[in-house]
Amino acid sequence: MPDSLADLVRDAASLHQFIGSIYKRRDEPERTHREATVTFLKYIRDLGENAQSFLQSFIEKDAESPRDPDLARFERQGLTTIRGFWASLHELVRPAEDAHTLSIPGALIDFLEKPLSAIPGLDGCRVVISHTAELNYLQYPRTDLRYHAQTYEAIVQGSPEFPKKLALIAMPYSQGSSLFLNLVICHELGHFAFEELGLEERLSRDIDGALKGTLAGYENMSEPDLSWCRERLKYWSEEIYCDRFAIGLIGPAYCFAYIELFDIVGTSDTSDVGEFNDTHPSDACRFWEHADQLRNGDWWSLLEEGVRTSYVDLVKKLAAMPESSYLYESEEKPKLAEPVLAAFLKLKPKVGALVADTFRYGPRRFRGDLDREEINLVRTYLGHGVVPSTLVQDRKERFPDPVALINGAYLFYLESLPELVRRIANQNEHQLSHRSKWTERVEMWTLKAIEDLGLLTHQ
Amino acid sequence: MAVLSRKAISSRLKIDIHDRRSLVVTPLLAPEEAFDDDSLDLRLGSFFLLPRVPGFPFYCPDEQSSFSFHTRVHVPLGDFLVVPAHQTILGATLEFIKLPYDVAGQILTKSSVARTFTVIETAPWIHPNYRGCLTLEIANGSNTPILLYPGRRIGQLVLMQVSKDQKERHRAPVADRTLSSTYFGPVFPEPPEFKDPNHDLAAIGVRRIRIIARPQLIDLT
Repeated sequence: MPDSLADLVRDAASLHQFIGSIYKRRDEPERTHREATVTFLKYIRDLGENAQSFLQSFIEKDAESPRDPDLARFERQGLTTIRGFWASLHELVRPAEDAHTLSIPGALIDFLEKPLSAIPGLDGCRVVISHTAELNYLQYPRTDLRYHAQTYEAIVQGSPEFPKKLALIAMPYSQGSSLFLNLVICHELGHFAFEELGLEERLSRDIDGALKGTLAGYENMSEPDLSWCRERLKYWSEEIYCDRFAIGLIGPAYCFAYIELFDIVGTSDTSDVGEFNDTHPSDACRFWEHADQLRNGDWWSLLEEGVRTSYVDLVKKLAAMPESSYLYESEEKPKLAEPVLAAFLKLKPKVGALVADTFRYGPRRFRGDLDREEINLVRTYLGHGVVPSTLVQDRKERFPDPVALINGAYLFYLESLPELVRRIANQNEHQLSHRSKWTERVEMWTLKAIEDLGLLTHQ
Repeated sequence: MAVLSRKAISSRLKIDIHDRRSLVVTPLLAPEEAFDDDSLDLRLGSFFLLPRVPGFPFYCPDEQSSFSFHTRVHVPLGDFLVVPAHQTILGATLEFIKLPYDVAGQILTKSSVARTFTVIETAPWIHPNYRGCLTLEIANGSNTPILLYPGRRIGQLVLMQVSKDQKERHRAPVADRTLSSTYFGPVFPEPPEFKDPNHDLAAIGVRRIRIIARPQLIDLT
């Protein structure tokens, strides 16, 4: 065997082993996954088997008829591309396996898939949840994956295609089956919609229009400067789109989850709330958008009417901060920071309109008395320690809408949890361990109710 | 103590939650098939606790071992769980139940299930005011492995009116102020909660209690 072939066999075997270590799973029968995750893991397995067969035939061909050394070197580069693609998949596979049905809020994801797949252009979409060590939620952009996949497929021909309309969302591993913080997943679904519906492209003309009207000397700007400005506007717009999208899915419960996850209560009195960074608008700006979206969806009337939680006051306070308090400083392009912020403020209204266009029948609006009654009933049931999936009023049973259920449960947790704790023997509302135990129970009851509603409406 | 009829059960299900006579069974799927004249069928839920081999040569029901004896498993609707012959597992009903203050309940294995020598409950009594999915102690007493499908009907809930004294009966039917925190509101099968044996036995005056120490790692260096 000539040396070059021996090297090639060694390298291909190493890659073969590397791929196997990613896709070959240990048999863990006690774990089950959601259908979307099963589809994703099957894709990875098929891809792995295909890649390993390719590597074997690649070597066999070379052994049969040794190639021109230059060609062999070129083909060797192909192994590097394959390794690179599998290195990017490495990040996704195990975290998706770890997110089995006991460690994710499955009922919530099942529910969210329905309104998501009702969006024109997203029909049939599914959500793969995976875990991350970060205390944050994120969507893996499939554009990057697709790009790598295209290069990969040019080498490994006949590779299975990446499943269509599969959202890849990561959640913190610690939040397993909790409900309230996991509502931030709705924001990540916004990123999925933004990418899948090609909204960046739809917004690009507006982005350029806003920059043109704000930046002095726009016509003579260098391409790197212009790209940098476009990128800021694209990032900020997408974040605002995703916040509005999340409210469009589940109403004010998203704002509460956002406040809790990022401890906005703790930072609301600092100057940080007005500060933009390279990728995210300031909290003050985001809450202005939250409030606007809540008003558009008529949810504001619910919050104005007697909701006592300080979270609502916080939304109002931050939303009321004037645009003049927004600040963006950039070490990279200090002179462009101010005009780019001004351009973004011009662009913002277009983003709101884009969200309205996304939903076939508009975002989920507050349904007045119907939602008010359901929210109150949900709160009453939780106060009695009962799963609120079948509600009785005036001797008639009714099943709450899941959005009313989620908001009712969140408001109960924020405002009325002590009433439940007081009702239970030997429990003290000021004892933190007791309180967190009953918070966990409220989340479990609500998730159970969401699951029940899936069954009740299905039948 | 009278057994509640189908009509009485249906009527209780329609009482407002503020009223302590209210009964809740949710989700009540295919309700037209769920009722018998004197009982209500309950379905098997999707969550289970499988006993695991303990790290010690025995199982002592004490505080420390309450949560170390089981592995949690989820079996989605449409899938099944195999219970090997002569094995036991903990499951739960699909339905969440809230009993009225004046009604006790008993969960029984459905006769068709019982004839496969599967027993679902060894502590069948449910106290008034109970709320939660019912934990089922499922035992396969047969000589063959049995498949359990979550969502299928597995038990019958029989409800009985508890006689109350005159004073109690005339209290306003508002919800009870204090509820027991033990096994309150589970939606998954719950492992047993124990206190240490010395705690339980000291309460009846036992002063000398024999305990077995758990195996310990000895450092020989």
